[in-house]
Amino acid sequence: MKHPNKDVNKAVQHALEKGWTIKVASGHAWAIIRYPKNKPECSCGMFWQISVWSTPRNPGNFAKQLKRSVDGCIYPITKLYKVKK
Amino acid sequence: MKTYDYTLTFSILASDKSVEQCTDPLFEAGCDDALVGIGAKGSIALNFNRLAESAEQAIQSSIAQVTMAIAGAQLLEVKPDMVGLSDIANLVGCSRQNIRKLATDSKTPFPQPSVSGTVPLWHFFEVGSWLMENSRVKSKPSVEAIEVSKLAFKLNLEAQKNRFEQCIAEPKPTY
Repeated sequence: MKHPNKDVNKAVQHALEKGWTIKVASGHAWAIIRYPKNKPECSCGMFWQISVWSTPRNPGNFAKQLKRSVDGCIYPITKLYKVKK
Repeated sequence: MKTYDYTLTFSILASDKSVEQCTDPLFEAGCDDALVGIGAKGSIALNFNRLAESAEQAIQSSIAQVTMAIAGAQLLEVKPDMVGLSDIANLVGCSRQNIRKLATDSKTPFPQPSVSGTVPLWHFFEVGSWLMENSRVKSKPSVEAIEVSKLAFKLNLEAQKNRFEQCIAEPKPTY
């Protein structure tokens, strides 16, 4: 399965490499990706099962959000909050 | 216009939809700038990256869209608000040890935690503002993050108040 946007596709491929699974979805969601080994105490909470839009408003940002969730909790590796000097 | 990054959690127990059925109406309502987490039964989480004039405009428009898309959706929480040391470190982009040092250093009176215990929690608005003002701190949170956390603080208080009132109105346990 390949997402039409290359950034989002890269983020999805990254998730698959980390052991996430993918399920085809209908409607505006292109697919649902989930981490099968999720534990209840995992800090990512609800973002271990994510709906991936076919046409996100800003694919670049969306890919970043996806990658952030896949890499652990929702706010781990974000550079969005860091003030550039 | 600035990009605001925040997460909203909604309870959808009062709605007749399942979590999977919620995604399409959300897209149609304009939440195509959100990452929808559907990993829990009876609730959904939306991580927005919204372009808006102010945090108020961004968050209020998101809440309006979600409640329009899912009838009966109830706001549970706005993030980032209650944060632990690791969360603060992640939000400002430095190490946990760094924040821990600031919090325990007697020379710099760090804000008091709102929840004490084995895992103390702070309001990010308080800690973030403190980090901004303190000249000894190198890693600063962004202005947007502070703006968002201020509103998150306020909205979470309201959500907690509603919860308390519901609790009093029907003393039966809801689990």
